[in-house]
Amino acid sequence: MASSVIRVAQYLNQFFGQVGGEERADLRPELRPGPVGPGLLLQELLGARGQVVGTVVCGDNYFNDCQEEARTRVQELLAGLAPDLVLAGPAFNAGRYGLACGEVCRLATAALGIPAVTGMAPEQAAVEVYRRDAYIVPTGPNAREMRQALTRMVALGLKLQAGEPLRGAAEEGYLPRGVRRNVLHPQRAAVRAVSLLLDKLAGRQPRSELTLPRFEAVPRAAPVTDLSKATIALCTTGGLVPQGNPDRIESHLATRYGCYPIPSQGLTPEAFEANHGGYYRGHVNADPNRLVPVDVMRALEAEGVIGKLHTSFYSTAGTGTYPEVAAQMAREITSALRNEGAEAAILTAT
Amino acid sequence: MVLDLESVEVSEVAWGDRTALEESTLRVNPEELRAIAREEPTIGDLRVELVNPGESARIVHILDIVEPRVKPDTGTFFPGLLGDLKPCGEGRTRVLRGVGVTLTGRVPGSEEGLLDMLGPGAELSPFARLHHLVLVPEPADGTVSLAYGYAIMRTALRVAVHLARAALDAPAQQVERRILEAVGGGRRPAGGRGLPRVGYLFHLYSHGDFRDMFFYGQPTRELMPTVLHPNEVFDGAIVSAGYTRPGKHPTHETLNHPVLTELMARDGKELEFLGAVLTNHHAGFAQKERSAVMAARVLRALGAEGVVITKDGGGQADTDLMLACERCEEAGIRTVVMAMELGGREGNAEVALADSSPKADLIVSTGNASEYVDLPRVDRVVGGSEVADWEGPADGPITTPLVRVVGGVSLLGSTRLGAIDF
Repeated sequence: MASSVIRVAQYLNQFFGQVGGEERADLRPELRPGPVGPGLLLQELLGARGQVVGTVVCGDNYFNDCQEEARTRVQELLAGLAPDLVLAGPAFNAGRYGLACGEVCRLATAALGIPAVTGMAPEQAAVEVYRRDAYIVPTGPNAREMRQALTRMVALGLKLQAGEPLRGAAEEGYLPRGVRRNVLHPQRAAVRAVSLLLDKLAGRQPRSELTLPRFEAVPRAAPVTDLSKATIALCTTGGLVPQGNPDRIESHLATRYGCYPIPSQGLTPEAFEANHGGYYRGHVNADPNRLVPVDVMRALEAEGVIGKLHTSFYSTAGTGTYPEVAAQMAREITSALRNEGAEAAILTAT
Repeated sequence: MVLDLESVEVSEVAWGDRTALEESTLRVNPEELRAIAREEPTIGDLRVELVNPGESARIVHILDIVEPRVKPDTGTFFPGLLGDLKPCGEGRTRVLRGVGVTLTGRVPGSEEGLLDMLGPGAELSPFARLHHLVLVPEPADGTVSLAYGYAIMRTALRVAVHLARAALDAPAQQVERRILEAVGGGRRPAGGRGLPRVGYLFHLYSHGDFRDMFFYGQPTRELMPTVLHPNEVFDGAIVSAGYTRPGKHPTHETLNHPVLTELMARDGKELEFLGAVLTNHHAGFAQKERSAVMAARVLRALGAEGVVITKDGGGQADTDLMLACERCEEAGIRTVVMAMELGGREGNAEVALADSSPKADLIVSTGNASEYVDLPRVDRVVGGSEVADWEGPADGPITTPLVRVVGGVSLLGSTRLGAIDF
């Protein structure tokens, strides 16, 4: 075989692998030489460019119920075929088959270093699970679109296999993988904006360059049952740090936070400063209590309104911070505060 | 209103005995610029450096870049700051193309803004194609006061006007006539020519001392949405206070506002441009809500069927984008939102904007400002001796978020950059 002919392995479930229907969904992974079922069409589409060297067939229930064994065995069978490219499915709108195809692509890419492509209906639950790890070509809901789906999978797969740079999800025809990269468009953004607006006004339904996520609502915490016995902590995104910023918390796009003991004499401008690129810090540097209100909290403590002010405060600089970094910091800080015995926290922003 | 922008191209800048334009060479006497700084008692000293395109140089601590412009009839510019507070946007304006007056320094809250003039960094920013007269001021008593902040801003503007005066008698290579009779409809009956009626909602960022934009000489921090003729922008009504971080537009970019330029170019052909509405990113949520309501109302009064919305900065600015988008769409005004993204170093933050709305269904990305870029070593560093938030030497190789390259990401859409899904 000429070295330019690409070795392609396909993954199919029991149904498309022509073993049987739901009653054979417990089928263990099996290797078939050459193409099976839709693999014949795949071979036709590949033509002289590639050869379907083998097909791994596995029951949907087995793959999803016995994940560890199924993964190990499928990986072994695929590795034995020494493929240059793995195509899984397409799974269309079949839920368990979609999860299996996503996992096979992840295994091929992450464990074997082989490019892999699958196809699924965009509304499939497996898309949300695997879109970051797998190249998923959008398909219709069922096998009537087998030819279109395989055509797209082959085109993208051959490109990935050749190591050609991709020109983005929309242009290459796969579902966005949760990564955005800068490119240079033919026209500057101001020109694009006016053109897109005119398209929208003319009812031409232009494609947005950015699709926004829907933010999840954060559930409200249960109220403190007895404030006069509670330990209350102070946290801030205003960037209050000991003079000199010993933890080197970034003033913008922060990835770090600090935990600082509150001195017995309170927060003084000699000991603390604000490190933050997003607001005028003069007032805080003159009196750090205006950002982290230790003076007021100590007064409330003395009056018995609150049980106790927590002995340390947590601080980072919240400007440009990536939400997932902020969420991770919040998890760590919350867990630390719980261990330290704080029951509630007051968050001061700027 | 008719404004003639008379462009005089400068191909070379060199020191000279007096500031003058010889053919396309601008000669500059730095002593004249230092004398301008001496008008301000809070400024102790002003160093002036010349940095040319293609030079292995890095300008750091950039606060603002100003394009030299002057009104031939008054000899001044920037109404309310240098000139009298009179309406601008009509008559002749001389523009010295190819030159930037680049103010540098560190003031409270300022973020690093740098610019490489050679190599991959220079490819990132249109400002790398300018000849820069870099101003490096020092405060008289060592104190960076608010008065000093205003003084260095005025000095940069005065220097820009001073340079533009050198081109008063030179032949203009190009005259762009910008005509828009009046802001608002009224020129033609509604739907008379069938062209869609389009407005522009222009957000500025004013959040207090050292973080202001100026409109006719005053900070916009209390501004309610108001009508704005595009020619006023080309004629210097809006000035950056110079302390904002580079993710916001410098005065040079505002003077060449790309959205206004594009809307005027298509006016009468593909659309009917109704003018702009100027508004501010307020610090409080109630103010933001009120501004969005008022902005939509003013746009409605102008007769807008569609609107381009831009922002100034990241984070809180996204809330204004979404509120304005919602109020406009509810008022029947279709929107396109232009957004600089903060999508993370690898572009995988999943949440590129700090706020979201289902009504924002058409967004133009002006790029992911938090993507990192590698800048190679340079021979010369101007404007400071270190790069803020960077531990290595200022002239060494630097890895930095794109947002710190001045002009690297344009909030107003000056560049072809955009982030797309991969």
